[in-house]
Amino acid sequence: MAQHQATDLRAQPIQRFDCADGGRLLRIHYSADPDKRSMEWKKKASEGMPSDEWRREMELDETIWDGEPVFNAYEDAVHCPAYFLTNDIPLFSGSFYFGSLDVGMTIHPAGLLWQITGPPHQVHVLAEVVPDGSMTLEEFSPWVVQESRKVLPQQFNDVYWWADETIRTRSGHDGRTGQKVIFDASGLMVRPVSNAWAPRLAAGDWMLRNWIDEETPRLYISGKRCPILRQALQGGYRYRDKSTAPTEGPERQLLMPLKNVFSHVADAFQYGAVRIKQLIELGPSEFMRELEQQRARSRAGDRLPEGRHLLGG
Amino acid sequence: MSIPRKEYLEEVIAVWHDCLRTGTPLHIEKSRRLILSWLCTVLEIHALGASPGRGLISAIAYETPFGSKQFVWRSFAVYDRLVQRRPDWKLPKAIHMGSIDGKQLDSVILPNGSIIEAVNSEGESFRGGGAGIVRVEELSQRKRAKAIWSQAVRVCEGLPGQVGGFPYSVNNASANAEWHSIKRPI
Repeated sequence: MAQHQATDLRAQPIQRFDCADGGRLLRIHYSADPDKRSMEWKKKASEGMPSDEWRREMELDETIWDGEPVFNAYEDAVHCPAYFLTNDIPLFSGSFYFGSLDVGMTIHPAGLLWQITGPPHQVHVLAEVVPDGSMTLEEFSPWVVQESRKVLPQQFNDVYWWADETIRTRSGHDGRTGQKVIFDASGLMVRPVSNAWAPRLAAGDWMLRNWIDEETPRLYISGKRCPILRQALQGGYRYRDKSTAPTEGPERQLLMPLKNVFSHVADAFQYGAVRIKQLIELGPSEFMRELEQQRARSRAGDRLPEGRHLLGG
Repeated sequence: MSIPRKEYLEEVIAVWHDCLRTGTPLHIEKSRRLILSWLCTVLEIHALGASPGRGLISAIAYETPFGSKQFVWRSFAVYDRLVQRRPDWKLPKAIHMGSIDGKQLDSVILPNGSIIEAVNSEGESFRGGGAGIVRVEELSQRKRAKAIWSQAVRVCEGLPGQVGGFPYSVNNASANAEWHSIKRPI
């Protein structure tokens, strides 16, 4: 990451590199403009700009992740071993499959596909479904189905789907819930999970800190199929920078995650973590009973008369 | 507004033209406030005005309120300004699709037939081939930077033995690992 920082940009404000892929790179620091070299200019230009933002946007510092990572227990070498950067996590017979979606009150939906092995239940994030920009639920949910079928061609029909509880909120011109929209568009029966901040933070943290035994972490993620989640857990999903708003108190560190390109997949991670942690802590028999109940509730939902809104979970 | 005469801008222009001539992909990583995005618009108008071709611009919405479409509006604004400032050149007006008042255009067609189009922020939006110039704004901020960049390069591929189009990106610094992989130096 620091390859381009070897040379001081102030000493050489325009730098040229040949890239390994045959392209060229031109790095240009603001001091390339003689009018922007004085301390006075810098003082005026940086006024009101958070220091991290200045370092990244003006000094071309490539190591700025703004605030602190939300999940600082993530260790890439542990949770995403090099093998899983290029290879799929294998599917184990007797496993359970889950999908967790961040879809409720966002136009930037995200989804994750999970495998939970039999007892003692190791957890694998097999794949992510994250659009580059905004996407409606009508577009997103069939895409989730399509991508999930690629990863779980045999097991797709056994996947349990969860999403944040705002999927029960009626919205839009026809007052349908997100749950109903997803069902209509893709046939997925999605059950709600609490989106209370403290439990999902705790569940995500537990997932990363918990070990099955001394050598076996609870969680593995597929670096091959989850590049955004991996970046999110490496610091892309982070707390907001210090506040500059007088109402919040200048320089106060706000314990709220920044909404950015990583936050939606991180939310999907937390919804999955909340539910999976609950199930694992129930113990094997209750684990199965709970899943059967969810399956039954989903089937009941399937039989609702056409045009009726789905019942909540 | 006019582009001032600055040594660093001349260096950018020289590199940009060299890459355009040879079809070499280029990444510009820059501090803010160097008017480089506007300079790129000027360079594109000049190149596509001089030689018929197809230009594509991809941007993400947070960079300008309307993403790519506002960059296409900038192309129209630069050309229109030229028409007004140099009446002696007798330049015909450009045709545009979209809202001038809203500063968001889907496309601009120059009198020589060149077209500059807005494409959305996903790699799949680069369809077909034969693009003369492709600009990707803030590639360094994209979640799937590699996929988007590979599509941008693909639509610029020329016929065997010929120089193809010119893909380039304009960026701020970023910790994005995919971006670092793309610009990895030899």
